[in-house]
Amino acid sequence: MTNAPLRYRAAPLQNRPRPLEHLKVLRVNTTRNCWMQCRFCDFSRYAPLSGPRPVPPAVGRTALENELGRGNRYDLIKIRGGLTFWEPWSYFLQLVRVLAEGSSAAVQAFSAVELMHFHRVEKKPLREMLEELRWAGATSLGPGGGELLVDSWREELAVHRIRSQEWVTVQRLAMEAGLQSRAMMMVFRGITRDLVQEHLLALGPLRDLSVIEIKPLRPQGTHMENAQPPHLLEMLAVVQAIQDLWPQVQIAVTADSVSPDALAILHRHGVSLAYFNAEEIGP
Amino acid sequence: MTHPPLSWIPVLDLRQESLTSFALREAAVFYRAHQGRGHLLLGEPPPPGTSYASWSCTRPLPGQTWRSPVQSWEGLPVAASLEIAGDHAPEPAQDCDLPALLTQNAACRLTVYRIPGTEADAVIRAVNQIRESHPQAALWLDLPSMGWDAAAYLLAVIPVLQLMNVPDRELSHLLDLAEILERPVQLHDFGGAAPLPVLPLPEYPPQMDTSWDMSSPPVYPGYL
Repeated sequence: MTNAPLRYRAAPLQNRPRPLEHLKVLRVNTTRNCWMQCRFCDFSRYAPLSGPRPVPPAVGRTALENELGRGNRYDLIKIRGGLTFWEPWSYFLQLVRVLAEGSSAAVQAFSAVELMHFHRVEKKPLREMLEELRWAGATSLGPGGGELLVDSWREELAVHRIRSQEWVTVQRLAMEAGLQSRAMMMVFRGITRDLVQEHLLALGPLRDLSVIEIKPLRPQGTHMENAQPPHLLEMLAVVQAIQDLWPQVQIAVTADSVSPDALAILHRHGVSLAYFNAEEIGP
Repeated sequence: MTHPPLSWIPVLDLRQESLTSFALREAAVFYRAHQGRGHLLLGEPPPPGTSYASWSCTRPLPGQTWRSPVQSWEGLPVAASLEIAGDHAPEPAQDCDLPALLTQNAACRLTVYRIPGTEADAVIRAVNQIRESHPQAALWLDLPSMGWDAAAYLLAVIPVLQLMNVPDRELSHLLDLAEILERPVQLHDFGGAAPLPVLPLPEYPPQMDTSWDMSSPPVYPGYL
């Protein structure tokens, strides 16, 4: 693998891009505590798992019901959070159930990393858990854990995260269980061409993949404080790389993570979904 | 294909000030802080005995560079100002026809400003349009109004563009952009002195916290 940086190929703005679809998102953070301690993650507020309950309880049912009772409409509900050993899988299933029953929005619940965590802790088959998730009302798995599906990179920055192959396998099982596949790609300053290529090739087995979310690294609050977020031209280069290999997928970006100008320029390069975080529940 | 270096031209705007000894001192400090390079915007000519290598004046003066007021460009969602060598400056200096002046003075400098509230893609198209209709003009983008994202894209697709009015505190953004575009940065002005290279900022690896053991999951022992 070489360190050749990924470079943007100068291209004019698309005259008639696919319309930019704005999705209003409710984010539900279950907890910010996590034992994995991935260096790029701001959900890694470490709490040693010893002694009487060292971390506050995850988001409760009442908070969710209050939010849903306010009558706000959302297009997408994202459930995300760190990994702890305190709440059981059944608690989180209930959480998905409450959200799915109280709203007509699509529910993107948990990621392959969280599924694997509960699979190991509760010793339940993955297929069964995925079917329970679908029963509870989830429409897709989250793309979390798929930052870069390059094992050498993961070993350096996220030593406890699941391997690339495991991530892809969980997503495939999710697809078989009737949940949609979601992938992401973390972009940071100095991302190399080989990392991007390897990541995009690793997504190959996800035949039904319809959305890839570009996520710029936000180093504040992580173990990578002096790393830099990506430059717009690097994000444009990533969009070009995705379109080269996955021309049929939609490319999404969280609007809060880029400037309005950057969003407009990304849209004119092929980004067609923008997530707007309208509300956030939980810690 | 190699592209020209990116210019960093520090600009001191003294248009609103009469050139008192304080303002002259300010200009001297400005030059010293930028290794003798920089461009002054003046509202009146410097007093006798004072000379600057690179300056332009908002009043047309024989033999000096005249800077037009910033005014909107008809038919396009941008504003612009021109800097023209003195003998060609029009009289009176107000309400000049920028496209016509630009056609008559192909060698002048044109700085394009973004009108507040204009969408990025409209500005980008406008700059492209000006570039195509006046290919001889030296085209500069006013960075504070343009914003870094629109400016970065424009510099990537039109390599002959340069940035004007980059504040000192945002020099690191210019260096970042130059690194990605693989172009060097030069400190200079319009006075003809040799440009000085601006070196990239030092890079540090991400800080790795090694204060605790990452070799095994921190599982509560009582659970196992």
